[in-house]
Amino acid sequence: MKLLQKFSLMAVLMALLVVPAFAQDPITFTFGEFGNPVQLDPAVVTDGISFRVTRQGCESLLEFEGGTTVPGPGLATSWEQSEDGLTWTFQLVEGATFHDGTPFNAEAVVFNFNRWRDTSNPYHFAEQTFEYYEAQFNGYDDDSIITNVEATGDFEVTFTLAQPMGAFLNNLAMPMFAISSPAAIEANGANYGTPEVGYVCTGPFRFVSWESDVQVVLERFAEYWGEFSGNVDRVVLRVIPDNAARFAALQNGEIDGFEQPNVEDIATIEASEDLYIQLRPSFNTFYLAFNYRIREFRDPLVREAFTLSIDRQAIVDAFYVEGAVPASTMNPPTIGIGFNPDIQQTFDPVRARELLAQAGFPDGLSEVNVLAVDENGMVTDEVAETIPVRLYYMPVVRPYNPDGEGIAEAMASMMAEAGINVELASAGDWATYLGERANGNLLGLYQLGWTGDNGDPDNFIGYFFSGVGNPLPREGFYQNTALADLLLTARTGTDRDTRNTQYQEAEGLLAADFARIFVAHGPVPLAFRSRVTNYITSPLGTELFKNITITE
Amino acid sequence: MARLSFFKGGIALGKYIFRRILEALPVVIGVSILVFTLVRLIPGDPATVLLGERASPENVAALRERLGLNRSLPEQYFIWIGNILQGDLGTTIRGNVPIAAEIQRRFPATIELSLSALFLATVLGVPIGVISALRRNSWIDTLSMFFALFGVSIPVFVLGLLLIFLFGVQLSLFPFVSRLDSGVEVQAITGLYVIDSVLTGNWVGFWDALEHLVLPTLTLMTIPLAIIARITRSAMLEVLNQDYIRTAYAKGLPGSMVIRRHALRNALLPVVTIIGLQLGALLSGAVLTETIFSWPGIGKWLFDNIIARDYPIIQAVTLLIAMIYVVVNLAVDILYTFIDPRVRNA
Amino acid sequence: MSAIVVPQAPVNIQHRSFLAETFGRLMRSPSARIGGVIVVLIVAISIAVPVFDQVFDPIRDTNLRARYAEPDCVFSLISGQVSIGEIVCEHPFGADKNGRDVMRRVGHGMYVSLVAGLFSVVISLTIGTALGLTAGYLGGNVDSLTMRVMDVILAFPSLLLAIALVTVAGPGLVNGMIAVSITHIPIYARLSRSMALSVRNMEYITAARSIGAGDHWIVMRHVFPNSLAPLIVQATLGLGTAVVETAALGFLGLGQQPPYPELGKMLADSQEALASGRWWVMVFPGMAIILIVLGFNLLGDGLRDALDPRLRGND
Repeated sequence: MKLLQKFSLMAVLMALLVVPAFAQDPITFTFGEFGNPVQLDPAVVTDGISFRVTRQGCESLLEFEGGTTVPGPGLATSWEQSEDGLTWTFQLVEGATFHDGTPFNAEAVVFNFNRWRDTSNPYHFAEQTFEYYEAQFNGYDDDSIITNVEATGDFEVTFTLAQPMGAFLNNLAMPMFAISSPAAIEANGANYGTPEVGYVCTGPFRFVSWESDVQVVLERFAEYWGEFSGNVDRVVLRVIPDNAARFAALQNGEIDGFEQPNVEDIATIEASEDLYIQLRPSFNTFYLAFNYRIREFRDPLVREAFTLSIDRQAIVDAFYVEGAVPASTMNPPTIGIGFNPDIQQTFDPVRARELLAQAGFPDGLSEVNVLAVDENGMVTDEVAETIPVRLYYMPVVRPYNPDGEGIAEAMASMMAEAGINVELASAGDWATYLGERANGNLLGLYQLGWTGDNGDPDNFIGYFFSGVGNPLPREGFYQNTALADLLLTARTGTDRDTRNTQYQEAEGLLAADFARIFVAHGPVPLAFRSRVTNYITSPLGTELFKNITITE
Repeated sequence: MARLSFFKGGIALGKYIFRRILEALPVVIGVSILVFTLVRLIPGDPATVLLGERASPENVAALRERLGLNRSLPEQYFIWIGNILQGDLGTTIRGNVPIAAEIQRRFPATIELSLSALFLATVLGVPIGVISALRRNSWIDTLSMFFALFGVSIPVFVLGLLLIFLFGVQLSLFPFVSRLDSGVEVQAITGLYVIDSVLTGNWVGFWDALEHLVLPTLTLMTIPLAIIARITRSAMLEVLNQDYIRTAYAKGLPGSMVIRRHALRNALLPVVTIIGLQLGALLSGAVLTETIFSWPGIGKWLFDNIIARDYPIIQAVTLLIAMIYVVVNLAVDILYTFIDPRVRNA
Repeated sequence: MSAIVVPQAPVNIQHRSFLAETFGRLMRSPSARIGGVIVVLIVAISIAVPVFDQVFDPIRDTNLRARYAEPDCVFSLISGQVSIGEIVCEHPFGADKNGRDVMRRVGHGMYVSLVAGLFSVVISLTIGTALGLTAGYLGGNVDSLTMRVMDVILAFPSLLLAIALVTVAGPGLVNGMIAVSITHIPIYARLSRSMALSVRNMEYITAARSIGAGDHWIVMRHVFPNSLAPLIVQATLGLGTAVVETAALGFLGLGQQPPYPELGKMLADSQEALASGRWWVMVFPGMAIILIVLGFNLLGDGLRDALDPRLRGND
């Protein structure tokens, strides 16, 4: 009976598959996503799923060279910098067209940058925030480091900066600064980027449809100006929230690939003839942060003891895929500049015990005091309450953290060997967890991590420790003025070697302070069907599908 | 039996139903008070609890106004109940979506699963119980009663995982995630995919929906199946011992006729009650089953939002399930009086 | 207490013979025999594990090198991986993702489940019986108010109410046990109330009152003992339910928190390992729960038949 059903189901499916095959089926690449895109206007997007869509169709002035974090030519073919580092001139590609047929030129670039920068621009809609523009270029209007963008020729744009900026080219290569069609924005207003409109740019795939919670469909843009080395005609990004379901869909051929299979399933995938795993090089850092509202955590001896108690290598070996390395610094080894190979954190529970004793805890540490916060959000000296030492673990799998709870259990066991009794704590789902972290409410140690967006250390160590005002709740109220000053100097520098040294020094300051416990840099596994070839991974995350060749 | 008193009986029946509804009213009110109180017991300002930590002060102020948080607790309760009676169950913290609409969207999945489990449990459970009673102390009886006891003893989350491992992973016979394969679509009419796909002639969708139903249904139906089988058996045995059955046999009526005309009809009375009561139990079993099988119904939704601490959703779904439970119990009671006239005269 | 002198001996004799008779009847029921054996086994494990394994430290139990170690010992022998000479018994039930021994954790998990179940039943039994007897004996407004409140609690499917209560109180084993026990109070309250009502007007109560016995004494001496049999049956069956429900809370992440062993939580953690065929992290905790519940259900069924002929539906 059951068998009969199976057969009839298969017969129907076969019929469906066979019939269109006669009509020269377009070659489709289907990728499984765990969620819906949020927005398809690249300038508004902040999440990885949306970027995976916009990256296929929208191009920036510069593009990271295949599989690296080095910015190279994109819509701009060459560029020059003035002596003082304040003026940049870009030569643009000629003959590129937007998906709506309008031509790409210098005016289009000026239109986009003015829209992002000027809050008074008619297309700087009130309901949209260009979050990344604000973050990467110091703010809007007069705060913006970019003070003027001008078309100095049909295919030449000149940028004027308020101060030099070391990561300027890296910033321009970020997918959020992709150039959209001015005509499309004028025509659609705030609807640009919604499911009805999608994106209108210059890239290899144009937007076809977006059905919420189901899929996004893209198709090859015939008039694409650039090189298109693969053979994919259609891209389908299908939403399958459940990890097990994504894996099942890959096994039965519904999808061609997806990101981050369960670590436990990797061996199964590798053993299968039809499937394979490809590792995206790690460009991330998993860390444990101290909340400095805990009085005991303000003592560097205590922080050092915690740092020494963690056996990073054992965690990497047990929980991560091959190629992961223990972390001792914020910047990962794969970063272009700013990695400091001289810093090596060790594992030494005996020394950790001694340090705890020196800090005044000869019997180990099981309880800590929480300091009160005054009405201005400043941490005071007054003890608000006494609580167990808590270790908050992440409720989700992220590229840098394959198993929050499992790793936390392992860490608790390691810390116990060093005389530290931690209580594991959860803080709701991912959004709640991030919210509690942003408000400085994770009272204890907490897991978190970072994946770099543009390959520059300003977007890595610089993102976390450049605050010079009040201690930031989102960074656990940690403040190090010397470190922040150094990072701000390095941000405005333009000489690569000088910046390299400055960031290495910054890592030194961080390590000397034992400000955080860096745990691991992990590669991200991607699972594919074997018919997918030439998928070029990028450390920055969202890869281009235009290189993919599907073999049958 | 007494046809003469038909009219009188009708009035008595109406009175009885009216009395039962009146009796259920305090329970309904009590349930709503309890659900209302539970959320107020969560530490912190109710408006912040209901809107989440990241709500703007204007939104908090607006909600305080809407819920009347500056007034006394009884007044707040009446405002809340008033909103619910107008179909306003509030909005979610994440995304600020009306909860009533979300429940409407997800409820069919839960209904489909619960009804298919209840249907199978009844269709299998009643015959098993009857046969066990008729063949009392035979090996069939012993075996089925052992399995019935085993059935009530195996928790749904253990059974679900065992089925996933055996039939999903090892044998790859059935899918064990969600309601449909990705890429298969069924146009929603009733929201029950098995029915909708038949209505639209979508056979791919039909088989796919059916395949996805198998493991969750097996998981959810086991306990009701066991209970129904046991109750049917003991009800049947009790009836078989009654004088009138013995008389019927003594009169020389054929065994199958005695059983169909007399025994079964009377034995089914308590069974009907139990089947009705199982529906309520199924709805709470659905929280576990839906979570295990990523079944996109209200149970899974409740679970996800317990983790997300989306209290308005927890409040609304808890209230909804409890109300369904009360109404089903009431309906079963009333139905019972139609089948068994002795009750209303009691 | 000392003010009232009651002849003790006859009561005792009567009592013993009642017990002996009940025990005899119990032993004639096969389900009670099997259930009894299982329950004795579970109780033995639950007492032995914490006594003989005092060094167990759930926090330091992690051993990452043994991550997902397969069951050795008997299982490696059955699957033909080793011969009897080279048998190793490091992880007879295998190890979990943190390399913790599954057998050890299942043992401690059974202890936790049993204690949680007992705790819940004792609370709900005590409070429920007190409420039911009081309501039944006093009658009137006290009775109807108490019983209306019980109706409200019973209007919720019990697991759902437990989930809601834990959501409010915060997750944890103790909160979970309390939540489960609250949802079970009405069962005992209703049962003991009906018993109180039925014995209230019986002759020996009237007789007790006529010789000047106080209300308190009457309840403790007569009403309560007569309600005992059905309560014992219900408590035995309820223990199985309480174990399942506390484990269900653990499964949903609302009960015992990591790294402490609890059967429901272990099952929840096993889900991610199923697709890759690591059956042992799921099968052993699952079997442990089934065993506990089956044991108490069998025993409860047997007790019902033996203790209370009135409750025997089918004889």
